[in-house]
Amino acid sequence: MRNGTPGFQGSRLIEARESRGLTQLALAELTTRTSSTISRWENGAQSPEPDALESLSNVLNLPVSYFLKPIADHGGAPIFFRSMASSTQSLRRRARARLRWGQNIAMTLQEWVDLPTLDVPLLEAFDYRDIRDSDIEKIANECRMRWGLGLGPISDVLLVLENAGICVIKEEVGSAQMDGLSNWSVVDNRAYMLIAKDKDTCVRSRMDAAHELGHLVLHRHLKEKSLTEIGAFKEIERQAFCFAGAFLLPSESFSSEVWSPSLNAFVALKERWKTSIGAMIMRCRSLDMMDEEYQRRLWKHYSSRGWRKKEPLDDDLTPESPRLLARSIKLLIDERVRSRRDLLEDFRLSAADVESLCCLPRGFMSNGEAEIVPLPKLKDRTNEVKPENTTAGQVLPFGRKH
Amino acid sequence: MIEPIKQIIDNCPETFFQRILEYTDSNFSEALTLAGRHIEEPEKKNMLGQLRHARCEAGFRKAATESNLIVHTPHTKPAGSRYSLVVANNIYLIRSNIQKHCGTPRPTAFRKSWSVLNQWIEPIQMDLLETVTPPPADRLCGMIVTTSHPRLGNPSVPTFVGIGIPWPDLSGWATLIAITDLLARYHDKETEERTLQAAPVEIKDRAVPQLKKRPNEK
Repeated sequence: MRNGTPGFQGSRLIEARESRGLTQLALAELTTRTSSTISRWENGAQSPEPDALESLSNVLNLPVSYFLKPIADHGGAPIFFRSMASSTQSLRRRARARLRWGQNIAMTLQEWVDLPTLDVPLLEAFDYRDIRDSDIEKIANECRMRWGLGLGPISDVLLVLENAGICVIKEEVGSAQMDGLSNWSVVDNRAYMLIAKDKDTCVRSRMDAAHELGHLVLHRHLKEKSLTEIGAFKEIERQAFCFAGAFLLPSESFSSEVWSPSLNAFVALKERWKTSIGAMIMRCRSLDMMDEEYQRRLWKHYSSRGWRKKEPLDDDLTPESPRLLARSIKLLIDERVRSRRDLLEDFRLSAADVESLCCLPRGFMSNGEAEIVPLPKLKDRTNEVKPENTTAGQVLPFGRKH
Repeated sequence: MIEPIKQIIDNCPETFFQRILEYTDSNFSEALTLAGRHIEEPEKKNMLGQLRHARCEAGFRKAATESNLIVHTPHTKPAGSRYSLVVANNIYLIRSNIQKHCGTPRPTAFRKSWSVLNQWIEPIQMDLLETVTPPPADRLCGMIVTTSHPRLGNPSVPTFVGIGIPWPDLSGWATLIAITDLLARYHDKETEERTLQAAPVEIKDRAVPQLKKRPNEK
């Protein structure tokens, strides 16, 4: 390396770029470098000079120290994405980078605070093909029993998860195509999930959280490569959906309350169970409470009522919010263990990122002061040759009024 | 007076009405498919109505048979046609014609003869001085009411499926409710008898971080 910055971590640049949803080309334009230079910085063949590093820091809105800390190894456990098939790779990479940042924040916080002890039952399955639907029902029920949830509706799913020691991050991922992702970190042996806030309805976020819990409980021992085959991926997603249905709507209690599998009846049940009507139809089908043909008819009525876009009560039920990371930060500040500035230095992230990832009020980390975000500037064109007939404007003084 | 709907709930199984709802949906869809497949445009509108009637009659009988009720298909008088009659204890159920709105059913002879059973709902006091003993309330006639909206509704599904209790002279409905509401009444009855629903558990907030103890702390 020549004239570079000692200790620069190329992998951190990749993570930062992906977190901002930028391509190498876009970053190159913003930093007035070539994309091949960015590529060399990222793969470690070269490191940026101090002024280039400063420019990266400004453009990506991250402190310089961020690029100097080696990336934390969270292990090879797969990251499960709950996303539509249409979600792009760049969107997935962005969400993955944001989850990693959340994990890093939690890791740093754990130097000072003890988070709730992890208490998550696990299914010992090393191949998704070994998991039967009856196993899924059983383990979903075990989760409920272990966490003292009984058989009724769960009043706050995110609180249940955080009580069980799972770290939940909820933020906008920039697209409605992505619903959530989850991962086990080997650093602290803790489960993490990121729930997308873009379509922030109560029932959707609860379903997303239960779905990710399904991955964490059922698929912890799966290898990353099992997610690359389309057939396997679909089945793994189906299993997570089954788990979510069984966890949110237990067969014993829910089925006895479905007095009529009609759409009107489901609207009444939605208010109590805080689960979407679509999910209830799927659950009724999986419990054999309706046959294929009737289910098809229901979906038709469902569409004709315009519920594919928005279901009744979506605006009335309040979305749930995570609290664990925000509380940890507030505790450290209130007890004067760490100041806001100390924490930002520890996290090596911008105040806006920390606030967003930890569900803190905007401006909390910057102590109420608005953060100055440097905007990209146009390239300097002063060296360009101006046309000869261009002259500078003459300043004319106005006449003074007596 | 005994409420007619309560009589129905006490005598007819819930599954019968669940099936009616389900089959009427599919009967409408079948009729539309059949009309589209086999009938040419000029006759389609009329035949769609005929096919809906035929399929709904079949669905009515099927729902009753599956719910272990007695099903008859008597001839009309004067003879010329047949209609379906379902008997659940002392409740006699027939279908009204498919309507554009929930109006009175077509006053055919067979409907008139069955609606007379409901005289006890509206006893006629013929004598001002002496009380006339009302007819016994031991039998009831109910009609399955199905409507379709010719322009605004989706032609593959009914707009309304309900059960009506006609006045004895077929001048209107003494009671008319949607099957979904009737099913809700079954549910209410069931929940009264059953133990209370599983209540949502109040979750204790234990998502509270604790400061780590430092070595110099006691």
